[in-house]
Amino acid sequence: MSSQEPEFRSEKDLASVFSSEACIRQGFRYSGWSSWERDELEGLFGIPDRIAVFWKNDALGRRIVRTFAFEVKRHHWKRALMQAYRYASFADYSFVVLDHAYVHRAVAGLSHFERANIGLLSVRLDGNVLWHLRPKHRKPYSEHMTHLLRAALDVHLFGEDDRRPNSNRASETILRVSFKQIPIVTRPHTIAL
Amino acid sequence: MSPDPQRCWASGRITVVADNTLRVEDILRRFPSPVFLGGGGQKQVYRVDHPEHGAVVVKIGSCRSAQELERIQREVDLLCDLDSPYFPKQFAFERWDSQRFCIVEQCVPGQPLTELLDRIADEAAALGLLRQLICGMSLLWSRRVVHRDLKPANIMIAEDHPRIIDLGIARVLDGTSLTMSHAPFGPCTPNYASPEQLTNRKRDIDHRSDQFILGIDIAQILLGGVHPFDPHGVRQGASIPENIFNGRWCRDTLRQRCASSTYTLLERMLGHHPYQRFRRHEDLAQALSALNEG
Amino acid sequence: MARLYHQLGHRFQWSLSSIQTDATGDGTIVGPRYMAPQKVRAIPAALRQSSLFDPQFFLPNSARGKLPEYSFFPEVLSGGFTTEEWGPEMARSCADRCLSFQNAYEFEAVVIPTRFYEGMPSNFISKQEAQFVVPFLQSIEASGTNDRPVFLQLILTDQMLKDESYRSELLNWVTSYPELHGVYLVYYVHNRQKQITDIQFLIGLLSFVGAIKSSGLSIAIGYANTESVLLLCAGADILTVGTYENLRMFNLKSFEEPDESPRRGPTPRIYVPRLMQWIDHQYIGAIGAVVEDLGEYLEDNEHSVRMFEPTYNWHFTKPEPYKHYFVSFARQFRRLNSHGADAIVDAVLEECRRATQGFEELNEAGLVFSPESGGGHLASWMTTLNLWRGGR
Repeated sequence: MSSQEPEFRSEKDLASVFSSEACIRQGFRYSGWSSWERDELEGLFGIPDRIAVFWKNDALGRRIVRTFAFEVKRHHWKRALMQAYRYASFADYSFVVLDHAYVHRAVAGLSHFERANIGLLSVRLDGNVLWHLRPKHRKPYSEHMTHLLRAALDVHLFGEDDRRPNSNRASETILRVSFKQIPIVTRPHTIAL
Repeated sequence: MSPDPQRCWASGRITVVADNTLRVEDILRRFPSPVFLGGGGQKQVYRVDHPEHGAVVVKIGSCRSAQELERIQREVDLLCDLDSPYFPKQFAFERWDSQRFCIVEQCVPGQPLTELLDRIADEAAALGLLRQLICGMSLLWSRRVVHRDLKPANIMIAEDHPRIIDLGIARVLDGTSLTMSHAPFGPCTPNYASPEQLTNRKRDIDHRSDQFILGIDIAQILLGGVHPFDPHGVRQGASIPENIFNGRWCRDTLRQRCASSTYTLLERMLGHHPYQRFRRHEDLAQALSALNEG
Repeated sequence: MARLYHQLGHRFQWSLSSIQTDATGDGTIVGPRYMAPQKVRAIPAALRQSSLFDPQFFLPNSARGKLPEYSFFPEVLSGGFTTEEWGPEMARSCADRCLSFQNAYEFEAVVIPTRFYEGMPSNFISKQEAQFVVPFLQSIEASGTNDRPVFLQLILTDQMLKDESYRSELLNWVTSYPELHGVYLVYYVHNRQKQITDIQFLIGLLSFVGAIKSSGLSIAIGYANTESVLLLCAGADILTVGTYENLRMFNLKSFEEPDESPRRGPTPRIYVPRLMQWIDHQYIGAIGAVVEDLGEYLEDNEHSVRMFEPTYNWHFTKPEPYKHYFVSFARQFRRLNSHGADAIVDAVLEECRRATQGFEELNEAGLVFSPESGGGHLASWMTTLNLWRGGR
């Protein structure tokens, strides 16, 4: 049962109103950072509903990159938490985004989010985003996934040479395809088992 | 025309007589001093002194159907094949028209187990009897024949070894059953029948059904003549067949009356489902040997 | 003591290599679906003598993969298997050829195949008898070379094993053959998740296995996943490991007509003995970040060294995750198997408790596992063992 708050009709409506870039820029005060976002990026651990990348150069010209992944659901907070935790394998910050009409249920279980270090946001019909838990920065827990994502970003966002030692061409191919084709790319055919 | 007596008795096998006027008296006239042993309804049993075979039993009967006559004939054939000291020798089988017959078989010495249930000395004697019965029954089981009626009345106790009689309802597992398929229970004596016999689950009736009945017999000996499924002993149930059907028997009493190894053996023989009993008769014999050695 | 066999199928070379190099198996169960006759022939004779051949007559009218290369397969032999046309002569011819094949390659035992039936058909026994069991037994007797043990294959659905009455009927039937030495059991669970959690089914399965063992028959269980540790408690003689999930969870997909839709490969997972679960490999980093000694969770062997290089391509075509699993599981299996019959239930229960505790600690540390990587099955397994043991 929702609160008295008016609710979104569908997850798609919720996702269309939610602007991750604006949300992060405001919440993390990334005023001087460049940014990029994409829906349903495939080839990683799970398929994040939204992924946002922020970067800037420090005083020495070194690029600092921060990745943010979002799982958007109307009200299934436990399922969303499980999915968002997967994204923590490659993203510096991972969030669950819920319909504000139902977020009270997740807030009741906020300890789960704290333990998992997953952020909790809710969105109102007017697009206003409320922060319920801000995650701490932590290193993504899968080196492999991190490597995949960073390598793909290096090539496609920053235009760097992809001929580096130990590059993982097979996995990069998956992400490359995902970047180029919009909106959704089917997975390559594999052996039927 | 009267049948030639020599022709009738010489072979020991089936002889079909065409003379429909033959009477019991005509048959008995061939033998000196027939002694009436019993009978009733359609069957009469006499003991006579046969000039060649000595003391024999002459069974004269009339069947209600050709099917029943076939079953009796099969019993005779089977016993002729067995030629074992555990089963009465068959000397002759004569049938005429589609219903009447006469069997001449060895007069088996001893008393039926029924009369000795509460008089067998001890556990060792009971187990000894079981060993001999298994030895005898193995001959049938190896031929995939199930006796189905190993009640105490069909076990004759003599000084040397027991005899098993009355294979009238024996079932050959490879052949076609001659019994009614849809009867609530198949041919058996309900108080000495396995659960699968009581429910006429034909597929499940095999040598393990005989094993169950032998288990009842031996348990009854150890319980001093009390049937292990008797409602009085079990303190439950309205009848013995009901208790057999529900797997209720006086375990605690039996456990107190015999060694734990004997109890374990009997408990397995009395397993409610065939799969709980000894899978092969050799396994049962082996388990029994192990008890004796122990 | 139970033996651990590899269920051979797709990528059977990994299994053979693992047995040879890492000593992870005591034998194999060979299946013609994925192995042509020459590949069967190529298995070393010594290994074949510790192996069973599974004729895979699951769907006798569907000869997929390499099955058409076997002349004894019903669809091949009859030119189009139908139950109505499969008469005694055809059945006997099939039996003769199949047994001849098995004897020629000197497998450990001969396996009498049966077919798969859905649900709980009332004529299951009579059909299996007529189509396969009796012809095969007659063939064995006629050949005069019946010195090899005889196993009867049974493919049972979860419904069959859950229904006590049906189960008893099957047990009465299987134990009625004095010619048999054992049963080769394959179970099919409808709507199955990665791990079996249906307690009623698991109890039925353990009861069935226990009853078979008590009757004096041996029992080999194929297509087993890690629930095989439960089956150790029931006294199973042979349990299996396999590469892909279709060798660890029986289903008919690879024996049926292929569908047209493209299928994706499995997500590479890694077996974590401490947690008694396969988990998505990506979680390993998360576990490593919160535990003192990752080696306590994850088997550390030569295969794990390669897998945890950052650039390792985690793909189901790579053998390392599966070879790693073979080593990990074999070690865990043998450790549990070393307990005697009286102690093994307690040993497996303790293993489950440790795994549950492991998940709890990881959850407390913030890990959120997806259901297929979580420990939800452990409570069902412990409940199963407690109830089954209490009911014996």
